Amino acid sequence: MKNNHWFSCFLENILNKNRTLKVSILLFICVLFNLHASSYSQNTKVTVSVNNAPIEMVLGQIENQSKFKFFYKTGEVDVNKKVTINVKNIPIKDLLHKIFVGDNISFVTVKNQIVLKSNRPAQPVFSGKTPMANREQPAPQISVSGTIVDSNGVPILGASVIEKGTTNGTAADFDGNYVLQVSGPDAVLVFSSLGFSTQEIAVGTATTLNVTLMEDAQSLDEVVIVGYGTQRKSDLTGAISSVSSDDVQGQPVANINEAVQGRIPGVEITSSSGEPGAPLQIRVRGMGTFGNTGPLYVVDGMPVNVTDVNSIDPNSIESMDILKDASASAIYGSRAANGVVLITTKAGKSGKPKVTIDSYYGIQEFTDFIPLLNSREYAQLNIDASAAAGATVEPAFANPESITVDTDWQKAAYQAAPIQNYNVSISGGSENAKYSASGGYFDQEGIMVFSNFKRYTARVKSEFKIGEKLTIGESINLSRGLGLNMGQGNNLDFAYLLGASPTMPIFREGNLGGYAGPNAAETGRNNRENIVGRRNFRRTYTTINKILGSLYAEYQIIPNLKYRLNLGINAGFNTSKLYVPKFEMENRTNLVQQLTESKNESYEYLVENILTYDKQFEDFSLSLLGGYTEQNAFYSNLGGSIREFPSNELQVIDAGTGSFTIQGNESEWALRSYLGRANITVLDKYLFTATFRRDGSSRFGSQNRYGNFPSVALGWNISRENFMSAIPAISNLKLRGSWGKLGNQDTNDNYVNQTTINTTPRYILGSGQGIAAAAAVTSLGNPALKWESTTQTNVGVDLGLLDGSIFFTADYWVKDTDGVLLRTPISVATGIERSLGPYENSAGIKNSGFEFLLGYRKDREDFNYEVSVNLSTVKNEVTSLGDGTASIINLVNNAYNYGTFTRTTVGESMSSFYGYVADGIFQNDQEVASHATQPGAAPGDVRFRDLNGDGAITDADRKVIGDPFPDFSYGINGSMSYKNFDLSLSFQGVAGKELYNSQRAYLESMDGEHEQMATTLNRWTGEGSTNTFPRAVRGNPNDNTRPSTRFLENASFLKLRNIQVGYRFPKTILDSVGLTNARVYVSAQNVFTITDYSGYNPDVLGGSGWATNDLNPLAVGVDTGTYPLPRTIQMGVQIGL
Amino acid sequence: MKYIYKILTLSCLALSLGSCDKDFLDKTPPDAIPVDGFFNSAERAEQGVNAIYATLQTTELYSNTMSKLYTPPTGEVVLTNTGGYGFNDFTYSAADGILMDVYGKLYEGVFRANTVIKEVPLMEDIDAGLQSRLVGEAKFLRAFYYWHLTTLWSDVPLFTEPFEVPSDALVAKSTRAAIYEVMIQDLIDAEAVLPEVYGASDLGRATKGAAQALLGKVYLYDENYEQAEAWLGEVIDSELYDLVENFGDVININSENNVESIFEIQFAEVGEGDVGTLRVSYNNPQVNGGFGNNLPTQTIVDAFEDGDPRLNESIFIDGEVFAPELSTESLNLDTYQSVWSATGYNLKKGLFPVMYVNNRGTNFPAIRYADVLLMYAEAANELDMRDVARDAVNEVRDRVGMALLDAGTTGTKEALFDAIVHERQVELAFEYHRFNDLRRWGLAQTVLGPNGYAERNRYYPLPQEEIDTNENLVQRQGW
Repeated sequence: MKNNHWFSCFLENILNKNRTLKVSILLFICVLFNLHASSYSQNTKVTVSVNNAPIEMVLGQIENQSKFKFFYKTGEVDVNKKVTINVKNIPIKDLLHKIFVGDNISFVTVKNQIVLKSNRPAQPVFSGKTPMANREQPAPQISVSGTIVDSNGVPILGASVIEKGTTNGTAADFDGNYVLQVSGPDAVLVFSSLGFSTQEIAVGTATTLNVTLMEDAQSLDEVVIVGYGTQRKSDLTGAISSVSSDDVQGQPVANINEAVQGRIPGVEITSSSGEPGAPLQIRVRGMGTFGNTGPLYVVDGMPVNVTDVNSIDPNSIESMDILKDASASAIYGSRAANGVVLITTKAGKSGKPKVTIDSYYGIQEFTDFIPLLNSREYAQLNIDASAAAGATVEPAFANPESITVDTDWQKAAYQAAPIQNYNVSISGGSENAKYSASGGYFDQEGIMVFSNFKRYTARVKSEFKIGEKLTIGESINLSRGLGLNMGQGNNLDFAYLLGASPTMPIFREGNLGGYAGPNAAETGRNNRENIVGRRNFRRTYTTINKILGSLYAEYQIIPNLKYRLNLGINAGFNTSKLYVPKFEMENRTNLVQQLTESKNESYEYLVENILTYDKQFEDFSLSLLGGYTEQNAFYSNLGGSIREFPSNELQVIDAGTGSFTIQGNESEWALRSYLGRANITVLDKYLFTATFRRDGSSRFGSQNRYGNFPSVALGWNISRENFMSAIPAISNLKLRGSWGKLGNQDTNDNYVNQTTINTTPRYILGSGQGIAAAAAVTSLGNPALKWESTTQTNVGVDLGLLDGSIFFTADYWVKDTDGVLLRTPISVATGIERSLGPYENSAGIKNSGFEFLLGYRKDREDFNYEVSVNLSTVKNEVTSLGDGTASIINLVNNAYNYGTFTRTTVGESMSSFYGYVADGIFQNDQEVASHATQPGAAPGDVRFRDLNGDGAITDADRKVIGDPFPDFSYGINGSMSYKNFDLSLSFQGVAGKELYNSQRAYLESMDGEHEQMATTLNRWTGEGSTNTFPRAVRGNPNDNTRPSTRFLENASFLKLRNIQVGYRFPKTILDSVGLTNARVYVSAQNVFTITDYSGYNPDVLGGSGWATNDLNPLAVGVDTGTYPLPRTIQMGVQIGL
Repeated sequence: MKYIYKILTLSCLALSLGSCDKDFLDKTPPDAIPVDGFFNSAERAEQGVNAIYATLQTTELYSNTMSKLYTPPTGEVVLTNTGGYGFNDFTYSAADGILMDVYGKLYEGVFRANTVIKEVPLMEDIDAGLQSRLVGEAKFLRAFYYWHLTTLWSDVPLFTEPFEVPSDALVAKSTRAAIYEVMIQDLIDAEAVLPEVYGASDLGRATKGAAQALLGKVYLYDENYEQAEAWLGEVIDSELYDLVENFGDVININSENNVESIFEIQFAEVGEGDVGTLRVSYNNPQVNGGFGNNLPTQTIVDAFEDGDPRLNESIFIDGEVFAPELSTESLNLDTYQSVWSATGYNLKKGLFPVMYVNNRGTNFPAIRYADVLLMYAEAANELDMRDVARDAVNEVRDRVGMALLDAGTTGTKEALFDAIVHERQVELAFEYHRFNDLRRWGLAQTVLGPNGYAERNRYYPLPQEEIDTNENLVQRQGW
């Protein structure tokens, strides 16, 4: 039970710390117990006291006191009959006998429904408590019956069946069964239910009609989650894209973001790393800042970090709504400038318990290796490089023919790896209590040796109505992720993997641990490690434990006015452990074990008080919202390391005997906000939304602490105008326009408003050589720092044709960001590190773009299909850069490169590529001499263009040579189902994208220091041999690898992200085995990619440092090499009980 | 009215559920001290001074990186494995990050010294003697950092006060001469107030002797031989310093802060990184878990006279004792094997006795008495005081039992100069002096030309990032 220990400690900690949370957790526990307390029986006891009241009222009281609902046909049971009853704690059954005494009424219990039936002959049939108008129908002649189910085979309670053109109809019972008398064979039945597309079926001679209604995700009355509430899609004024769970089912992904890649116009999602458990990078409508460019995530009301999304099982997500424009997102104020993603987990629905099981198993593989030199080719390159530099050839390579070892390090490091997922969920409930709970297990082995990720999740979400006015509910997600990671120096591992000498074997008998290492005799100066040994001996194990939850109570104060209290918690406890054992790998031998551990705790709470007022007037509806919220986050970490252990098997700190270190720190931030929103809808045609949020953040100094974020939006449902009835083809036409101001407060440090004296510098003094305390300013704060603010304007149109079978959405948007938060690189002559200057509101950035979504869908009886295409563009331009700064130059520092590849200049895109223009190869001395003076140049070296014509190649001959922003991104998604088969395809593409392939610069360095790409076989070997590829030479005197057009590549691509074929077992088979639903499918992920790009993956943002998951927006587009994406083939089953 | 009452009740409830305290949004870092009013006690003043020293032992300076600017260009070692190859053969460019790393760290020292020099004299509740000593230390260190800056880059921006805003640093270069003036004044001020020796707990701080020695060195680099002779003579005459008996103890973890040490960068094996000499792990042979960065070349091996014991104390040569204490059954580390190195040699000076802990805290002498004797000899020789000059050189040779120079072989100024050149090369090998010496003697072109040295390599180019950041900064000619 060691693994659970942290949890109880953690709870204890919270309970001691915070009273509010203590209460909320107690409530949560009560709620959990409540969940199991309901049992349905007519023996449930009730107390009723009425005097001469209609039966209907008594039934109402029973309903209030129990879980029961009454069903009866209005004409059949006289509920207006007056009775006088005075009973205490008697079973319902007895009470019913009392009130219907003599009426010849019988009672049947179906689940928690009590059906009252007259034992007299039947009359025209109606269901439900409310009688339908006009009961004067001609006597029906045919009885039709059947079952109405959804696509999963689950009965649709209350689905209505109406004979077309009449008011004759009924509703399905709990098992989806219905019986209806119709006028004759010519009758057409209309089957419908909220959230499903309506189906019409002619009766003909059939007496049994079983109907499957398809979920209608695009239905206009669909409810969309917006910040702090929901809205009918038809009432939306903002630009919001929604993805539902059905759209993304059956993909082998650990993170929901990966499943929606290429589906949402204006949202660019890149999976730069295929490392198990690695987060994805998301940008909503371009990059407007120099810091964190990702959107704000809100999970069931709790704002979280992008990494927290990794802890949520995609199977448990009901919908994902992306708020793109200011109108939609301004309610999140200071954190909304990069967009907001609302994730809603699955909730229970009224009905009998529904159990679903989802699982898949797949195999991932990666084989698109970068072609590298074999041993002899590598040795020859060394010989050539040494000869060119006048150096002696290293003995290891002097005689290529005699080299027998030829290791393909990519083959050695990559493997086929399984991926699997299991999820069980149960949901259901009654009118007054709904619940949904699930448990999941995800396990992904890495395609690189010694990497994997496992995740256990448990989740519960429920809602209870207590009386007429109070509703309480909660959503709790627990997860535990276990990873074997690349750890720090991810980038370094790929430098070793690709740069290691092919002349080094993988294994060496006799070496402690069994692996070979670099050594002069075999690998010369190339000391890139044996990656397989390195990964085995440097395993970083991480755990990520997460509690993410919210708890709410909603009370109806007066009709239409509700108060809601929302408490959120986001608590994490993460650990990381690296144990380096004693091993031998030649000159990378390690004789001293070392253990490094760290533990991080994060704890964040949110308190929200929200008042909402909703009122429907005759011609317009009004919805008002006001709120006050506080959020506070605390972080602490503790870590240490120790050397020397008695044996490799002992791997805890206490077992260490040598020198050790210890570190720890704490920090916190807080946010206090006021928010308000008004929605007005006039005649269902004219829509108006205004929002306002005022945020105060602890990150800013007292004079600039608060920021105001307003927005307004207008919408016009043109299709609802009378004049549009003349154009029946247009089923929906809406114009939208919005304007608003959003903020960004994201800084990499919580105390950026103050300069402080740091006490970490240390020195050694005294004969005892002990540490002497030292103190100095090491980074700078800015008390005048304030919000970065983004003003966004959006205009959009939604169009639906032919009853919505053709749908089209277009948006044009402009985002103007001012006062971009940046630690502008400062001169190191200050004595402060270049990257530790003060944060400043330093720049302006403008992003603008178009988004289109066009789709066609057709629902037929047994053949449905839908295809949609989306496309979006982003234009990025830096509009200002603080006072006098001409450009921000970013320094890339990683295992491959050190230098400046990009710069951010006014009038250009952020992070534009900056460098020399390569202009062929010098063929002879005369060409070198006649060219502008280029220090170090010799025949065979790259000629760089003298852009300023001053006769010398200097740094002034660099210019902007490209930018990392694609011309447009697009997605093509199709799905179809025929009878029980279904098929879906998802393509993702990017056009006009460039990357600076700095990994290639490393692999084509031509200096013999490490392994090279096979392209180097085409190197210059003498006059006229080639004009594209330089010579091999030690020392690289001409700096042929300097940032230049040579390594700039077109990274456009089109990728088949997912293809899936499924089969749903027919109901007849299911019934015989007692299942409500069963589907099996086969799918493939990352099936193929069409691209000219020479690196592993064109779909990277780049700009990372040593760890590939860091993204530096000032160096976007510099591909520093990442964990490749596997192709996955998998099989899965989905079962409903 | 009922409704209004309800609303009021709930509003109160609502507000009570947020903690409406005023300082909810006032947060301060738990690990730092407010900058205003920091210098308010002797202890704080001392911490401010310690921070100036702390910069010396960072990775960028004496712990590792700075060696790449001083040693590989001499052709006496070759850098392998972890970059900086351009410093082997003068093919580095202004954009090489190593340049900025070192440049920036040297200015960090300058900034911290400037802060102390400005703030500490304003303090009132502090012992006057301590106050002037602390300012004296800061001035010595400021001169020491500027000495490195001028030695590596010649003309650089000059700051004598801490910046108020970062843009204060965007200034043009000052001339080397202007910087020398500041350095000399600082050292004269420091020399006047620094103690000759410290108590045991303050061992490692700058002494009067350190200030005199650096002043002598600065004058020597400025070719002001009279002043150089005078100040270096002060050090010798103080009789506080002497050569240690055994050359192997000059840089050795078992004999730190010895009698020969005048100013020593302090390292200790306390934890990792910050306070250990990475230099050791970078230069240890790879077989021992190091990186074998700086591999001695045949050039330096050949420079030693036959029988000079300093060769075997400075360089691991095939068959020598390596790490007997570490040798285990599985690893044969008793004797050094030339196959462990691409050049056949590994650095030994300061790395022996070889242990497995990579970041061994061996101190590194920035100024030691042998250096002072040889500088004194050089100044004296220039002033035609050949006998005292020869005696100084002989003191150094005598320690290792090498034949003493006499008037017969070194009777002329030129001959004695040549002898000093040789003596400095072998005595001070790998201690960051050779490249400076060759350049100031005007011998760099002759000695290093074959390796790629050209006139523009006399000084390093200013870091490209600095040129890009500071419009007032003009790159050196030729870059």
